[in-house]
Amino acid sequence: MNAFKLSWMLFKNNLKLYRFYLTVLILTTAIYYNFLAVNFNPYLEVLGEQSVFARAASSLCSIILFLTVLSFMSHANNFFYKLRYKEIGTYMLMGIPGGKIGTVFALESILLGGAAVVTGLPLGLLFSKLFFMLLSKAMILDTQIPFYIPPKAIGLLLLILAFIILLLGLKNYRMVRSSKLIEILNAARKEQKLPKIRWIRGIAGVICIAAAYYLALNILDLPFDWHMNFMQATVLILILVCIGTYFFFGSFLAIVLNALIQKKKLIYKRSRLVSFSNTLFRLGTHYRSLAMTAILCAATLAAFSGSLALKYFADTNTAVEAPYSITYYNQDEATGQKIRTIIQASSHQILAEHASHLLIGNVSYSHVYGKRGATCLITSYSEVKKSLRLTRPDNYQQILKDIEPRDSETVSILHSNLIFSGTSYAGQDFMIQGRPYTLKKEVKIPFIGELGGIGQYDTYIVTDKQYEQLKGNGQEMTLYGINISDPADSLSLVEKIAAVMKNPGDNLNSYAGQYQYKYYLLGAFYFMGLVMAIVFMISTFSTMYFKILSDAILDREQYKTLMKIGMTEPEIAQSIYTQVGISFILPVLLGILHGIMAIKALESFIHYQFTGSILTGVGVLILVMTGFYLFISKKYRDMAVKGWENHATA
Amino acid sequence: MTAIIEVKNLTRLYGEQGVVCRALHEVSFEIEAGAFVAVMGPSGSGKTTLLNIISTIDMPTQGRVVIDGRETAAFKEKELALFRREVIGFVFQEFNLLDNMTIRDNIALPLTLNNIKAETILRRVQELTVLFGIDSQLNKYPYQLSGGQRQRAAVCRALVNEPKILFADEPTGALDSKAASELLACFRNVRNRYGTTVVMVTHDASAASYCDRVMFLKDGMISGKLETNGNAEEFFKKILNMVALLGGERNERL
Repeated sequence: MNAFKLSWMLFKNNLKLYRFYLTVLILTTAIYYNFLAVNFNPYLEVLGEQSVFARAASSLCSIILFLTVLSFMSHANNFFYKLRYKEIGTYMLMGIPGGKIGTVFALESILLGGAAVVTGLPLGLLFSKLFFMLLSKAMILDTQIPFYIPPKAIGLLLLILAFIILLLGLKNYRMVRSSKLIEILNAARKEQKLPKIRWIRGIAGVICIAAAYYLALNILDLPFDWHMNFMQATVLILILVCIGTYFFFGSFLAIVLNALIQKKKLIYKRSRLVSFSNTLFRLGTHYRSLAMTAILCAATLAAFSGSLALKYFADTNTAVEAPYSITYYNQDEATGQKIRTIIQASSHQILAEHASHLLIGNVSYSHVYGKRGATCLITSYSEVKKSLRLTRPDNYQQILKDIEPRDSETVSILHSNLIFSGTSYAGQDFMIQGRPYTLKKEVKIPFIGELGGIGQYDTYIVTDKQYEQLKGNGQEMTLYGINISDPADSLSLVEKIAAVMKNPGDNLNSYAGQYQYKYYLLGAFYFMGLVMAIVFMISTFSTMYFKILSDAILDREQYKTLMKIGMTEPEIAQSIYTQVGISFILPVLLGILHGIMAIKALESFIHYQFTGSILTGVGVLILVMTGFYLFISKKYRDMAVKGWENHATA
Repeated sequence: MTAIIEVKNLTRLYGEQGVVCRALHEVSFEIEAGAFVAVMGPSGSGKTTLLNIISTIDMPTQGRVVIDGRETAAFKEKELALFRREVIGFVFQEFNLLDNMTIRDNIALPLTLNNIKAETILRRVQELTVLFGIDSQLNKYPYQLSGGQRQRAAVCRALVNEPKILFADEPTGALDSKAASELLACFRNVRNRYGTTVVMVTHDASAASYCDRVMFLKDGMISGKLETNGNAEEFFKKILNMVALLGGERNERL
């Protein structure tokens, strides 16, 4: 029988063993294709600016996906190799040369990968219609993206997967070639050794994580004079978190477990001794995958909560950009009357009217690159108070408390187009109309909104007394806000109003206009983020699945011994649940913490609170992980305990 | 003396219809409390099967086993595990110590499952390891010990819950002759000190000569019994003669 026939036969016989792996691989291939397809879809060109966002999101995702697929496939490959290690010995004893066994194993893994591609690609093509439908919905596109199969995407996908599959095939060939018969036969007897206790690394790990968290939480407000933009800060935090996580699992956890095992009072209870000792000894080889699980988990949470946060931001920011259904300024009395007449004639009703008073002035402050001066708007605290009572953003009473300035202070309302700002100036000295103030806080609240003429200026809030004084040498103007019923549906009304106004491009803003405009920016990231969260979830799970089940193979002998000395099945089960729990809960918890910190850093940059998104993300993640945990523990139990009765009599 | 193990008409069949293999056939015997008994016989004679059945790891096809007045067939799964934990102890040829625990933890393990206080466990471990001469090795891991020391640790683990019976399957199989004779002396000490009944399966005539009584199995049946008169050398010769008579065993060892 030639090597190919032999590997085909083995592949068919082992199909049951590969079932789960194959399923995950097929799904991954399908999803991977869709990310690539976004990059190569010519119809997206037409969308102009919007397509740039979709492409940026999908390119980022494809790179991360590549790394994930590579690591997942090599983990699974190692698992199967371990599972079938003895098989190699048997073939060697039968006198088959190592080169041929290597070829057979390599071919088999290529067949496995090939099967996944052959099934996954058509599935991906099927999915892509749905994928593009959802994508255009998320971006609120008027047109459907037509169904199109980009040959370049298929080509690239095949190239990438072929590369990974061949790499693994080659690796298998080399592993088989270099294995020695005596080592294979003695494999079961290989002794495990206690992982080295490395104090410095362990402590360094915790310090790295703590430092990263500190940076994430205080990113705009570092105590020492250290200015960082978003990219620098993110990269630094990422590096610290990765190093910290690896050292945490590689050394810190070993220190903790080793100390716990010395505490006999604690450890000599039920099956704790077995679980803790197992975990400690496995750390030597497992810390990498524990760390990777934690990081993947953090990525899942960040992607998921991040997406929710972006959606929340888009929804809420509409209110910031258009605080009232209709906003205008700089019109004469007669135009104002005309506007009201037009509204009354329409199907919409006027619900509320409001007028805010403000000054146009100048502000100057020190910037990283020197002094900077700008045009600004100035208003009084009671004007903001009146306005917020009408627009009622979430928590507005708390906001009002937070932004009340003292006579020497000012609070700035960041202009509404600002999505992202990398630096905070809180605490610095500002000169407004030549008078000095200390900046108390920067906030993003509905006040002016997106107005062509003045929307790009930040607004500075001062006390009423200060405002009266500043008014003396400035020009005061009035901003009118009208709230109507059904604002999202009022685009035609807004057009009629624009027709009677002078210079409506600069002087008029409406909720209806902003609402339509909003999602294209964040919609793509929102949708891709959700898909990424699913991809990360799958990779987290499959990494853990194969790693933990590799343990089960190693633990079979041990549990046989334990049952012989009188450990009951429920006790074994308890020990397994504890042991799997330790290698599950710790990385998941640490990952959740990492993820929360990531969103917290995002909060500082976008000037929003995403507590709801974080809680939803954590909730969903915990729920899904609990499901995984129970599933894997049961599998482990089946693998470690099943069949020991048969073994005992053999 | 009362019998602690009673075996009546024990038969054990393996395989399915058509190809049935009979490992034990109508075996009956009794072992008194505090005895030190060896089971010998050529390969395939059913020694290990017999040991597995009387130690509750395996179940007979026919016949009954009564240990300490309790019929083993009547046990439910949980009772069986508790019985194994409380009444009997095991020693295996391959030691079966857990690599990832210190010698102290390995020995303590059966007691930790019973939720006994840590101080009590530690005291008991100390007492046994002093008796077996490995009290200075308690903080080491199994891979740091010699074969003889590991086997003594395994015996300590088997004895830590004060079992009434100690079962040993080829306990000297992986040891050199010096370590083997030290271990057997330990078995005798345990029997004398705690009154523990020791049942040992062995190939080795010199190991069997440490016992009070040797049962010979051949083709699943008891084919002979020997008892010592106190003279070890004479007993050893008798065993050798018996082995020669039954055939196989001596040649296998060469």
